[in-house]
Amino acid sequence: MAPTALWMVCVLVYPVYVTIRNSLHAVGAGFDPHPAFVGFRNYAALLADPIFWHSVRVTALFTLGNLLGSFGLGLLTALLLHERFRGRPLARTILLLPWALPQVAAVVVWRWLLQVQYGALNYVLWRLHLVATPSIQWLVRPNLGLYAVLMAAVWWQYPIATTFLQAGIESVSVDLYEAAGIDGANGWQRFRHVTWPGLGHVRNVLLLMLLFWSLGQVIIIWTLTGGGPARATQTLAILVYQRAFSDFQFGSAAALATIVLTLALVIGVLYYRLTLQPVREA
Amino acid sequence: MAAWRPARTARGVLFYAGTALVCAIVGFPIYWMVTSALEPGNLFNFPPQFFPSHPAWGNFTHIFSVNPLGRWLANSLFVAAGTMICSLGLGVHAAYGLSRFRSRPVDALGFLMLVGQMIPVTVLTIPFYILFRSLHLINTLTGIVIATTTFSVPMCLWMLKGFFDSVPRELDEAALTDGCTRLTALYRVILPAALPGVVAAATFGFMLGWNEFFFASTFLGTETKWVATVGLVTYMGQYFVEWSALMATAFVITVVPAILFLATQRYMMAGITQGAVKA
Repeated sequence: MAPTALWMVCVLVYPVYVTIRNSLHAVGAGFDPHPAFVGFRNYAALLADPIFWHSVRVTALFTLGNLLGSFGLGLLTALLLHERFRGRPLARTILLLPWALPQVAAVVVWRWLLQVQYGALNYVLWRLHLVATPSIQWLVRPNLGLYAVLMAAVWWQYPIATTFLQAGIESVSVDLYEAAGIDGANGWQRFRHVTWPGLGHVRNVLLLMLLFWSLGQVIIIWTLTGGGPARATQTLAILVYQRAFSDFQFGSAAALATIVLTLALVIGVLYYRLTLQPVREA
Repeated sequence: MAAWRPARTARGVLFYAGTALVCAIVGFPIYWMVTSALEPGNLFNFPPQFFPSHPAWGNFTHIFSVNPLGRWLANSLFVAAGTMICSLGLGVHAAYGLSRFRSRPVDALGFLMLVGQMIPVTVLTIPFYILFRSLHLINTLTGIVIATTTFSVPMCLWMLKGFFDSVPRELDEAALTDGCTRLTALYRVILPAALPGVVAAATFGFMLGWNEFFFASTFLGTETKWVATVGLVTYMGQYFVEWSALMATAFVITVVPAILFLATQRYMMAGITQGAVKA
């Protein structure tokens, strides 16, 4: 216990302390050992910066898309896997496999799928007459960048949602289904009145986890689009990195990081209440 | 078991067709990676070739000569194994404490862990950069292990705690009356009983270490020190992209965690949901 606590202090509390300290100082590229104290000027500059607000918007859109996409696909696949059908183990493996890929490998595959001239996605969409031209520039056009990133992110992320929801569905009492069957409920009614309410707790925990995974999703965004095209996928987490390692404005990056940390803390409190509290009261 | 079983009816056929369609769509990117990796040349075909005609196995030897891929994989293995060992070492003790001795400070640590897990990697990259500069850990694989462990310990802890909670306390007490200390009781009695959890946490730590990208790409300057993920992304970013070789490289990097995941998926999935949902 104690060594772990000590370790976490070193690798978590100290970095957070450094971040907050830097956010109150004018830290530039040179890592001046005694930077000038500037109070909340870094924060004020951020709040006046349209790039910051654009990034907030992108983060919200990405989070919403990733949340809905992963949850929706997760729910669909969890319901499919809940059935006992022939070939279920194979289907299960196929459906869960995307998550086993390293994120960068997933990105490489999606880059190739989304390739302008020879990409499979453009070809399939074109052959299905869903688009007029077989050369959509997914990674170049600013209005499409977010969709491209979301496709890859949801594809990689949703198996976790499947797993959670499957565990949740399994825990719903079989008696309830039988009762619903006796009452003559159809598939939709059973889902609406038995499965969905039965998922309550699992669903809430999952949604919160998807929320912070969306905020923390950086590898896929960074390697697929680098925050582009034209800042279209520049979430807060990406902006922090760019402020620091592209612009070398470490003070500004630290202020931004502190804002993100606060956000994580809020979600953390919610999550904590949701998972640990009921046990304590019981 | 299931209440609404697909019958041998039109609805059953519809169910199978739907399931097959979903599997085909979701599985396509992986299929596409494998077939593209086996195509000769640049893959500049339109329409795309959906079935490989003459598998070019040579791609897989080619990629080891254009890049120091063997070295990168060895480095990845070091980081992944290191992360696994560190996060197990730290996670097992903390999880045991969190499972058995609930108190305010212990819960506070648990909470700290949770929040730690929610911090985006990029937010911690800067303070780690500053910290590692003073500790001379920049451009070392050890530094990457330390940084990655920060993110893997919390999840490992929650997985292990879930499994420890399901081990009855009577086992602890029996071990203690038989003359074990708390630690030997943990190692000899509790850990074997919670083995699926240990497997799950170990797999998770390994996969997280193998996937690590941001710390590695920021802190590792020398090409021979790169891990496979950094090498792959750099290779992808080159001006002239040789797609078949790139897909083959991605495939090679995927094989290790994918096999590990397939071998342990039951434990893994139980671990993730148990740790997160039951608490």
